[in-house]
Formats: sequence, C-alpha cells, structure tokens
Amino acid sequence: MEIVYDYGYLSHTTHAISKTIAWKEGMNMSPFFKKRTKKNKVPTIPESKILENSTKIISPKLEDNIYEINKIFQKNMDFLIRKFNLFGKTPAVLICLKSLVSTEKIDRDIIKLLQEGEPLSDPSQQVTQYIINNILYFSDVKEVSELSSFIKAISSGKALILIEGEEYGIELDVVEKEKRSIEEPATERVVRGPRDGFIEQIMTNISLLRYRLPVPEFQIEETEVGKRTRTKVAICYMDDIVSEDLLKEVKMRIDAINIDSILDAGYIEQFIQDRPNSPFPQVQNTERPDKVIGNILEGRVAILIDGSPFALIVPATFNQFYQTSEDYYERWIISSFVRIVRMAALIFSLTFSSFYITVLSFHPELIPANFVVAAASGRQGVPFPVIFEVLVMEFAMEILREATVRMPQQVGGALSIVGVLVVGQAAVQAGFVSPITVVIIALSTIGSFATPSYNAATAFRMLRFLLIILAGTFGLLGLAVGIMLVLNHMLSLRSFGIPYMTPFSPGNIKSLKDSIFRAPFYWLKERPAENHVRDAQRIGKKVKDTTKNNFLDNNGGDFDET
Amino acid sequence: MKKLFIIIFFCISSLFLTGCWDRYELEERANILGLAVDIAEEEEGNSVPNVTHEEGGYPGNDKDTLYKVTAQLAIPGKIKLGPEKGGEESQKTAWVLESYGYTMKDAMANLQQQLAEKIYYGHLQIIVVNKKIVEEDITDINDFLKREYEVRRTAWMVVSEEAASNIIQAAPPLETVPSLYLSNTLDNSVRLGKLPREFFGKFWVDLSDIGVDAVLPIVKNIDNDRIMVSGLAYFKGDKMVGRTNPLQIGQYLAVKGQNPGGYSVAIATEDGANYMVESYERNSKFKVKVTNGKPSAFINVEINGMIEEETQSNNLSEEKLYEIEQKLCELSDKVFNEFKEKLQQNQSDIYAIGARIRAQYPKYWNDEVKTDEKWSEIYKDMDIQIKVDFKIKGSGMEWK
Amino acid sequence: MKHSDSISSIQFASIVTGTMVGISLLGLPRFVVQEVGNAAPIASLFGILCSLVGVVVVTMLGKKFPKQTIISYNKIVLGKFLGNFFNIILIVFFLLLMGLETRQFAEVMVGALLPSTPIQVSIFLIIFLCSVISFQNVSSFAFIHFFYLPLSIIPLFLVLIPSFRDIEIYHLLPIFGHNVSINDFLNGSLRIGQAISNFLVIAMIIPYMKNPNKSVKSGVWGFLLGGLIVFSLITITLGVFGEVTILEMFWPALVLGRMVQVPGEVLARIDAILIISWIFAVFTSLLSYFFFSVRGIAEMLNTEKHRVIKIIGFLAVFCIALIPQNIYEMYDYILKITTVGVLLIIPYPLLILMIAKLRKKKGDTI
Repeated sequence: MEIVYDYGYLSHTTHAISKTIAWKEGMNMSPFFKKRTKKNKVPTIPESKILENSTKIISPKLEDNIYEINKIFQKNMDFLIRKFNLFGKTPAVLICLKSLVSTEKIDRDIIKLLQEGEPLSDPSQQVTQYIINNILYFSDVKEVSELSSFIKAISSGKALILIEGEEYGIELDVVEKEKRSIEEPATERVVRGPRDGFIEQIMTNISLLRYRLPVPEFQIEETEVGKRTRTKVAICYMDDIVSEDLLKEVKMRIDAINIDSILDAGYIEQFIQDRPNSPFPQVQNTERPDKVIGNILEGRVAILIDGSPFALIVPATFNQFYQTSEDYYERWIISSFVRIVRMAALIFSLTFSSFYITVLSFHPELIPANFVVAAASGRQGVPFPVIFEVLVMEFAMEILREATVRMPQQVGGALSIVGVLVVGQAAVQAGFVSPITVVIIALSTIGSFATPSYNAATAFRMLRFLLIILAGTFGLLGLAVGIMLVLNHMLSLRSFGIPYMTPFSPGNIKSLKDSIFRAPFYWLKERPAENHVRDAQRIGKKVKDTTKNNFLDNNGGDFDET
Repeated sequence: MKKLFIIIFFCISSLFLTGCWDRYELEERANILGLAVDIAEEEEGNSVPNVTHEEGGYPGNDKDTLYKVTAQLAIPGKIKLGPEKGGEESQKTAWVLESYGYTMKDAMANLQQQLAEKIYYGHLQIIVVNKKIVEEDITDINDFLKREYEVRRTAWMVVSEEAASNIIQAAPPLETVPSLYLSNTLDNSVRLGKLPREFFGKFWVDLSDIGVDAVLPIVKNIDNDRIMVSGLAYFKGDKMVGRTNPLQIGQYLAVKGQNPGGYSVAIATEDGANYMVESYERNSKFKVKVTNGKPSAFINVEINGMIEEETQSNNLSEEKLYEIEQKLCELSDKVFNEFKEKLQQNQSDIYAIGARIRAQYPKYWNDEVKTDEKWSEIYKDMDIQIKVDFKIKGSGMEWK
Repeated sequence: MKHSDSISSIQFASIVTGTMVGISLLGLPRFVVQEVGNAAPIASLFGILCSLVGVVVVTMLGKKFPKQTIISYNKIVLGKFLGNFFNIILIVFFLLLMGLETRQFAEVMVGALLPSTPIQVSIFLIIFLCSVISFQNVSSFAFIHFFYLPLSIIPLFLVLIPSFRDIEIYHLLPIFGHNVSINDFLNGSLRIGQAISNFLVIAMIIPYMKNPNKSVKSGVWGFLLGGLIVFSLITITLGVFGEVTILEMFWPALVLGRMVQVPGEVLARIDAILIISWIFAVFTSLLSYFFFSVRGIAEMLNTEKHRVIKIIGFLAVFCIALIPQNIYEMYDYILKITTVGVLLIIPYPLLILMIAKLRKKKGDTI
C-alpha cells in the first residue's frame, strides 16, 4: 500500500530548484535517479560524442570539409552529396539527408538558381552573403561557420551549401517531414463540437491553436528536451492571464528534465507531475485543440511536444477529469445532467462491487428480505465466497478490456462477442458465478467506461481492487476505511501547488459553479480562482431580450394577404 | 526506516490473510424470518438438551416455564431468482423448525446446535407470542431480542390466542416466503390505517415508559394460508390484561390521532337507511388537569369521514348528512367511553394519560404518584371524558 | 502562488465542527439523561454555552499570539519549565483521549457491526488511517476536515428528520426534569462539556490561518454548528425514546438509526449509512487529536521528524486503547479523562489569558 507522504508545493519547488542548479553546474544529478546517485555517481546523459570531437571551424578548402563530413555520414543510405559549379565556375557542394528534404525544392529552388545565377560583380563582397541576399529566395536561411552545428543541421533535415574558398556555409530549411492528415481524435469524440485533432507535427498543432486564438497575448515558448531526441517542447499560455509563478514553475520543471529521449507527451508528464507514486493523473492530456484553448483561457499552461498528438495541460484538478469540452457547447441543463451521470458512474465504478460484497457477505440485513432470499437462491451451487467470485470476474473483465484495446479492429468485434458469451452466460450456467454478480460487475465496468478521461478511469478501476479486498475482509468498516484512504490521498494531492480536490475542498463557490454542475454562461463571469489568474473577468452582461412582440408573426400575416 | 515499513507491511498482510471473521455467505446463514413462541406441553420437556446448562434444569430454579420456539427459515434453493413463472407446482419454500428451552436464548442455542448454518436474525420479520406468555410476563422474551444486535427494530411482535406455531405456518399461495407475507400484512395494515405503528422499537419504548401502557396486535390464522388482525392486546405493565375487537383498534387510533384513518363504521338513520362511513382523518387533543390533588383528563377527538355506501335507501342530502353526523357523534361518544371504562377497569393506560400528567404536573406526580403501581390505582378511578366530533366531508362519486 | 499552508475561516470553522462531532455522539444522550433526565436538552444547551466561553477564550489567545501555537505561547506566558509541564499535560491528555475514543469506536464496531472481528483490528485500522496522513503541511489537514464535514452531517440529519414523527411531547416535558437538583444539572452540562472538550485542537491551528484575527468569529460559528448538532441529537433521541428507554441502551443514537424506515425500501435499514457517516466523523475527530499530539511533540522537541513521532504515537494510542477490560470500565476511564478535559478547555485558557495580560506578554503581530 502506498503510504501517503507529502512534501507539498513549497518543498517541491526547492527540490526543483536544487535539481536545476545541480544540472546547470554539471553536477551529475538526474532528478529521476536521485537515490542512486548517492551511492555511485551516474553521469548525466552525454552529448553526442561526434559533435564534441568535431568543434572545428569550416576550412576554406572544400575537399577537407567534404572529407570530414563523409567520415560521419557516408555509410548512410539517404546521405546525399551533390557537387556543382557555383555560377558556372566556383566548385561548390550541397549536402543533405535525402529522406528528410524535399528534392524538388533542392533541384528547382537551389541548384538551378545557383548554377544559372549572375556571378557577383563586386569581388570584395562575401559570396555567401551575396547568395543569401540576391540569389536564393528562402525565408529560413542561416550562415554557419562551425562544423558541429553543420552536422547538427544535417541530421535535423536541413540542406547545406559549401563553397570553395569560403569560411561560411549556408544552411537552408528544406525539411519535408511525412505527416498524417488532421482527423477527429479517436480518444475524445464529440457529438457536437469541432472535429479537428492534434497530429504528431508540432508546427501543425501550433497552427491549430494559433488560428483559434489570434491575439498577441497568446505566447508559445520553445525549449528542447531529450539529449538524443532533441524533442521540441512548446509552452503555450496567455500572457495576461496566466499566473507568473505557475509559468515559472512549469518552465523550471521542464528544464530540470534530464533524459536522453522523449518519445511521447507521457515522458514529460511523468517528470513534471507532483507525486509520481500516486495512481491519480496530475496532468491532463488531450488531443483536442479547442480543449487546450479553453484551458489556456482559464489560466492554465499547455505543453505541446513534437512527435506526440497529445497536449499536456497543467495544473490539473480532479474536477477536470470528468469534464469534456462538449459540456460547454451544449446547453447548460443538459451538460449538468450529463456531468452528474458521469460522476455517478465514477463513484459506481469505484464502490459498487465492494459494496455488493459487504452487503452480501457481511451485512445482509441492509437489503430487503425479498432480495436476500432471491440472492441466496442465485448463489445456490456457487462454490466460492462472494469476494472470490467478484475478484475473478473483475479480473476477467480487466483482461477482456486489455485484450480488446490491443486487438486489431477486425478481431476486436469477434473477441468481445466471445467475451460476453463466456463471461456472462456460460459462467452463470456452469455455476461458476451467480447471475447477480454478473450484473454488478457489468454495471461497475460500464461505469468506468463512462468517464471521459481514460487515465482517471483506470486509476479508479485499480483502486476498486483495493476496496474489494478491504470490504471482503472487514465488511462495512473495511469499505469505509478504503474509501477514506482514497479520499484522504486525493485531498492531500497537489497539482502544481493547486489542491487536487478544488473546488470541493478547499471550497470555492465560484469554481463550484463549474464542477458537477455546469452553470449557465452568464453565471460564470470569472475565470477559476484556483489558478490565480491575473485577469479574472471573462463574461460580460447577459444579452437582454428586446423583442416586445412576435415580429415574425406580423410578417407572416403580411405574406398571407399578398 | 525501510525495514520498519517492511515489518508494517507484513503485519498488515497477515491481517488480510487471517481476516474475514464476520464473513458468512448467504448460504452459510440460517435466515430466520419468523419466530413463534409457545409454552411447551408437559411431555415435550424431556427433549431439552443440555446446551446452555447442566443436568437438572435451568439455574435460578424458580424458572420452570418451558418455551417452545418455532422458527421459520427461508430455503434458498427452492425460490426461483427473477419473476415467478406460472404453471409450476408451488413447492414448500420455508423450513419450519421447533426447539425447546427455558429461555429464548436457551431455545435458540439448542436450535443452533442442530443447524449447520449460523442463525441469523437480520431479517427477522415477525415474532408471534402465545397469549399465555404475554399474560404472564413479556420482559423475559424481550431482553434477548433487545440485546441481539441483528434484530431490527422495525420487526413486528404479535400475539396469538391459538398456538403461535399455527400462525407462523400459515402459508399463502401468493408469496414465496410465508413470513414476509405475514409482516407485509401488518405493514400494509398500518398504511391502511388499521393498525398502530407498534413495531418492536415503539413497543419497547411504550413498555418501559412511565405512565404509558403498550399494545400489541392480535392475529388469527385463517384457513391456514393467511392471517387476520383480530384486535389489540393491551397491557398493564408487562402483562397483557385484555383485548379489543378490530373496530376498537380504530378507536385507539382515533384517540391517538394517528393517520390515515382506515376503519368504516355502519350507522342507520331514522328512516331505516343504512350508511357506511369511513374515517380518513383523525385528530385528537388531550387536556389533563389536576384540581385539588385529583387528576382528570379530557380528550377531544375529531374524525373526518366519507360516506362509502348507502343501502336500503337512495336519498342522501345535506340534511341527511347532518343527521348522520349527529348519529355518529352520539354513537362514538358512547362506544369510546365504554371502551375507556373497560381500559380503566383493567388499569391499562394505553392512551398515555399518566405520561401526560407526569409531563405537565411533575410536582403532583412526584409528590403523590411516584410509581407506576400507584398510578394504576389512581387511573382506575380518575375522571376521563372523551368527546368525539365526527364530520362527514364527502360521499364519493354519487350525489344521492 | 500563495503560501499553501494557509487556512481560510470556513475551513477553520469546519475543523471546529468536525472535531466536536465525533464518537461521543452515539452514547452522549445516554450520559446526559442519566444525570438530568428530562432536562437533558436544557442542560446540554447550558453546557454548550459554557463551552462557548472556552472557544472564545482560546481563539482570543490565538489572536493575541497570531504566530504561535498553544505549545509556544504556553512557554512564553508561563515560562519555559511550567509551560513545558502544561504542554506535556495537554499532549498526554489528547493521546489518552484518542486511545479511549478509539476503543469506544471499536466497541461500537464489535457491538453493532462486526461481532466476531477482533477488537484490535478496528482499533488498528482507524489509527492507521490517521497516521498515514501527512502532518507536514496544515492545509491538507484542513482540506480533509472541510471535505468530510458535509459527508458526516448530512446523513445524520437524514436519520434525524424522519424520526420527528415518532417524537412524543410527553417525553420532553417537563423541560426542567423531575427533581433535578442544581448539582445534577451542572453534572449533566459537564457531560456535554466533556464530550466537546476536544475543540482545544484549534489552538494548534490558529497561526496557520490566512487571517488569525477572524479566528474568534469563525471559531464561534463552527462551534455553534457543532453545538446545534449535539443539541438536536439529544433532543430528538430523548423525544423518541423517553428517559427510561434511553437508560436501557449504550448507544441511543444508533438505535434511533435502526428504527428509521426509509420509503422506497432500497435499503432495508438506514443505519448502515449512519454508521459509515459516523465512521467519517470519528475519523475527523481522531485525526484532530493525533494532529495535536504529533505536531505538539514535534514543536516541543523542535524537530520536523513527524513520521517517527507518528509511529511512536501510533503504538502509544494502540496500547492505550487496549487498557480497559470491558465496556463499562472504558466509559469509567473516559468520564474521568474528559473531566480533566473540561478543566483544560475553560479554566486553563482563561488562566493563561489573565497571566498574559498581567505579564504583558504579546505575540508578534502580522
């Protein structure tokens, strides 16, 4: 059992500070392997050795440079080295990785122009400067002089031009990465609402955000995480809304990450969350740009990661995990009802099966006598105690769920039919479980699927087993103790310093209006206070109904007469 | 520190391994739904095993009544899960067991000795007690039931004038579990205004209160498949001293002011027409007084009724209605006071007049009355008047 | 972001209520009625008002020393030696109280819920729950209290409200009881004081409030809410059962829950809900005691090693809970210990306040 410990927001900050300082000073302290470093010092993830060794400056002799670069890249099948004569006379070379660049662009927009261009008339002018200023029409162009940054640029998909006798090379952005089209996110479908979702390319994702929020206050800061993968990470926020402390904290935690590779947003999430040993998610993730924008405007910070279609949103409170963006698109009565249903489903999925055990095995006096007699009949011939029955069935359900998630879609349908048949009908007929147990398990499993956030639902599904064991051992007392363990843990959790159970505890009446119950918009005049936003005002006055009579009716009458 | 956690972890896990002390699955519980307590016949006495006491009878020797306890258990396997399907032969769904003992617990301990399952009282719906026991003393049966935490306080205790085991064996063809039917009969009687809410909890409160005497419903077995509430047994202290007929339950309820009303009463007018009037609302006001050291009570009962039936005539009118009201008031005044006098004779203060005097005149009570016994003496001769105000508010769908 | 260790006034009030509403609720009506009979509602009202003086004094002390807990200002006001002496008394009082109330909780569990489960298990579970919570920052403690308050109060009223129809007026009259002497009456009020003497915990929390100057107001409000619950529980229990029947039982409030019939018949008995919510209430009270003891010891020894103190405290409470031989003995001990508690909640803070005034000691203002 996880013992609840808590170093709170402040102490965590100091941890993070000491971590950053340590890292910046080059002291070998990784935040992840903190304990191990005490015994034998694990060095920080090294920079690429090739880069460290080749800090040379580009030499004016073309052959030397080609030799250096060939030494590193020539084994690669996509390595391209194209020699040509600049303006028909000076020998030059274009180097790139074929797989990452658009060859069409290179042919038409670089080599053609360079070969056919007018040679420079003023010999005192630098050739590279002349090419950049007069010949090429690329927007993203850089002059480089160091070989190491040259090599870095090649590996990230840029094209390079080296010219005989020049100490500078030209770096051109001709990257063309493969990407999929924008689709509706599979994990967060809506009935009503925008249907675009993030994809793997960070630039596309940023554009999805930008066109929704065309204001200068919307800032997107870039950093790079991962020593080897050099993954681009973008921190998005509203400059005039977000709390400065929050922003500082987010940046500090991201900077403190010291790892070789970032393959998905999940890596970042696990490094920046407050308490890694908690079953509950403390960072929200989403594939929906509209959801990100909504959260940014509520004063939260979004983190986009190149290569992952998931954006992270911090801070995250429990309140957010049963809400969807659709709640705001639908009218408030319906949204409130749906949220209540979701909340009920969540509580169901956590406590239903354990309550069933308690009632049947420990305290049958709690349910009506008629039902007890019927339930006893249902259990006739079942050789196991209820707790074992429930545990086996719950576990079978988990297996079934995991199997269907990983299966190819064509097989998935068949599997679920088999699963339902085997687990339901056959198990009852074989006298393995009682029919009431099947109903209970089905209800609690369906309950967990009704939660919009997959990771929060999984947390509850997992904790369900804790409750089942406690309830099966100590009855009602065990159930109460189990619920309290879960609640106490949730109450002492923090996400970026914000209590996890806000607005329920600590109570906040303004935020409570947008929790289980989604109040009409003209009630939600202010942004959630728990984010310590700098600009709280959100909604102005309610639009008044100015019509005095039914003007459509008059028109209709006119129409009839003519 | 780490070692300490490992030790704690093992302590906790051993708790789980040895746990489940109170876990009894449904099929491991002998679910007692109804109990009947009788006084055993002479020759049956030999069959008491020495489960709770050594040879030679129960300790405290003056205790020599032998109880026969009949218990009704639900047999799980016989009852189908889900809605009943027609056409099937009705099977015996309850198991009726008999046990003997010198006290309740003695009898139940003897029964447990014979059973594989743990006796479980959580769904005990009804306890039928033979009149002979109730007339002697009810406290000895009560103590066990009060002390046992499983017994629910909303169960019913009823008195039977025949053998109590007969009542519990009444098996209705409709219900799968007979005891449930019996307790449903009583619960619904309360809803229909035919019985006071005198389940265990209330009965025990009345029984131990000062200046209040308790009542219990009396039931009768009809055709061996249902029961009828045939009256109330009223107590003096711990003993039953008399019984009422069913209509007098209505009087009791009216004086207590319990709603909804339920009893109908027949009345005839001068011109020979017969009417049936049902009471649907009852209110009562108690006025107690102590003048010159003599207590007196005045009870004003207000009953609202509806005409439900008119026979031998067909000319109901407003005047007629007043006539019926008049008649009803006269009749009620008479019967209410008759019943009250009977109660006074039997020294049974079921209207809680003593408690009211005690509440409003504590000085008088503490100086003059002091005990329940003394109160019974005073109550016997005290002046109690009941005035009934019967009003008819409607006459159904018919004008005439 | 703000300093997270700051407690709002509402949270402070809920700590007062959550601590007061606890284990004693189930048995309290019996002990008051035993002393004063029908005068229990009046006596409890009187007892609540007397204890209110204690709340005001304790919160005023907190206002005077807005940056110190009772442990610190004891030392300032009384001097180091005498201050520490009283600190030890306070901490020992709370540890003993926690042990005995845990035992009382376990007795109810064994008596009315899990008869064959060893009593040690219930004791262990509930102390374990208290000791896995971090006391490092006070705000978590406040959040827990705030969250559990509605969970423990609402079900209580769900039980109380349907029992209104079973109240007999003659159970409540005469309101001054039969032949109740002044002495009996004061004894009855004392029982109430004993049951709610635990609110002293707030003296440990005031310095962590956002605005300690509001502590008097919110402390009084929280206390009045708790007092209302205690008062209505005693009145309704007495109204339903009457003085004679109440004396026959250990836990009248629990039996009251068993007599309630819910319409709809989803749950055949409502007392399970009552018991679960009561477990919540028990937990919040015990947590307060444990919080006081652990943080008190840590502050006295000037250390931050709460975890070590918690483990030692855990063992101590567990042992104390096992001392009484039977349930009657347990109630004897509780009555004796809580009598000391009454001395600690009213005369003792008054004394400190007076000495502080005389010696002109004052805490740092914010």
